[in-house]
Amino acid sequence: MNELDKMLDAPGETALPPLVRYCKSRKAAGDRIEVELYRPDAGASSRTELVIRRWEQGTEQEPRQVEWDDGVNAGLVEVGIKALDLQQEGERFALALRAALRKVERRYGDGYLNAVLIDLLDESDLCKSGELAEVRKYIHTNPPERSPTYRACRELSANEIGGRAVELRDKLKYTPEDVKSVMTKALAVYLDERFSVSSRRNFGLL
Amino acid sequence: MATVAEAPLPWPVCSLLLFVATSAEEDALKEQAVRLGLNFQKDPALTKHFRDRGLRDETWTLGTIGGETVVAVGCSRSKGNAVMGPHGRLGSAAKGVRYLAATGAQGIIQVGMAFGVARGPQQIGDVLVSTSLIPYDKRDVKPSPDEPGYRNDYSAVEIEPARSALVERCLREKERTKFDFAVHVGAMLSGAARIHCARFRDELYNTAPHGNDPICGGEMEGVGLLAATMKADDPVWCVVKGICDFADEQRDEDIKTGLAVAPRNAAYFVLSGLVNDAKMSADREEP
Repeated sequence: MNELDKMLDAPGETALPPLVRYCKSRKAAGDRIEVELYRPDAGASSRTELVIRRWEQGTEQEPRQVEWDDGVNAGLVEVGIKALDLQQEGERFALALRAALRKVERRYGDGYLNAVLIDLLDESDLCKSGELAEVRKYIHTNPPERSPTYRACRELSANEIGGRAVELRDKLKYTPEDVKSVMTKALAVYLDERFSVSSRRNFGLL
Repeated sequence: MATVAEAPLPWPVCSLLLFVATSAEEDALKEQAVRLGLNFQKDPALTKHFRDRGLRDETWTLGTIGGETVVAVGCSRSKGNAVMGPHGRLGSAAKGVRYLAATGAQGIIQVGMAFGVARGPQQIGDVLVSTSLIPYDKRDVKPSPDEPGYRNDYSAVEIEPARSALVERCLREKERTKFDFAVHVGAMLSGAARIHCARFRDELYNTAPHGNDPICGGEMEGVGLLAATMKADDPVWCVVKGICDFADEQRDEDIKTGLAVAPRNAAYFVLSGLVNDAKMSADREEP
């Protein structure tokens, strides 16, 4: 019998990606585990790697570095593994937002999501000042047509964004202030990348 | 006071770019836009915006269709001739990178002509939609004791998925609208070669890895658009093309018919998808 023949007898964790399973077991054994995002060629392209840092009885072990994977990240969030700091958590959740909003993008198209998302953010206090407001001022979208689709797209978008905030609160146990700070950063990074704000600045176009 | 053409354009300039590579494809896009009652017009401010960035292709705005703000970019020309394929200063790779940077668009649809892989089940004028591309030039050419003394090993080919939002749009249109041509959805072979040889086409079809989707055809520009993708897992492109030939010994003969019907059907399919999505968005009651 090989692994496939034994699949029905396998423990529940088998459904997890191997890296998540490993982190879960090490965390249960008492290790401290945190993740860090590494962008080897920041600026030119945004290839992202996820660095898993682990401390066993207070001593840091050799980190493991893997290519960014939405499924692995979701699994790590599910088992309660935080990023090194709030800044990194914001960067990480920007990628989680991108993954979550893909279903809205597929259903309603890029342009409509742009319009609805900006509309939604403009009405939020998150966008009134700070990092998000700074990115927002370089983005233009036409107002979305207020059809039944608008309501559905807006609700789905808000649900996906809200879902990430709930993960920060319930899975990663952040305080409400920290959740707000991470989500503001995540949205700012997501919008920056989606609307090429920094890359335009780097090219001297802003 | 700044005139309209001098005022900077709002950013992003558009959300969707439509690319063509030949004058037949360009004409077809214009004709089908008119047929569907869409705006297809030059915009002095847009032209200036591109000229300021060294981009001299003809461009047209189609305005906002549903949620998408659409700009069409005509074929690039060198010494009066259209530049096809991915390579060079005016090839699809350079064009994709430059226009994406100049517009902030999230998607590019390359509209035009392709080759089919199965004469009979597929017809000239059928439309191909790429769920992924197979950049078949990335191969190892190894010595072989058999004729012609070498063999192509395609195991290093990496299949590149298309932008899912654009593929979904095409799938919706395929499902909801009846056309007088068939629509085939799948992986597309993409490379700079103009193929006139059924044996080579069949080698590609039979040996190039294609992931979970069957190979539905092949073309030349899509592989260049891979360069325009800035983020590792966020492709910007989708290729939608009509079958113009079958990459075999009858290629040149087929093109005489295909040139009229293939780009026309591809352009109609893409634009009708945008228009019908816009109508659905205005009409439908969401759950």
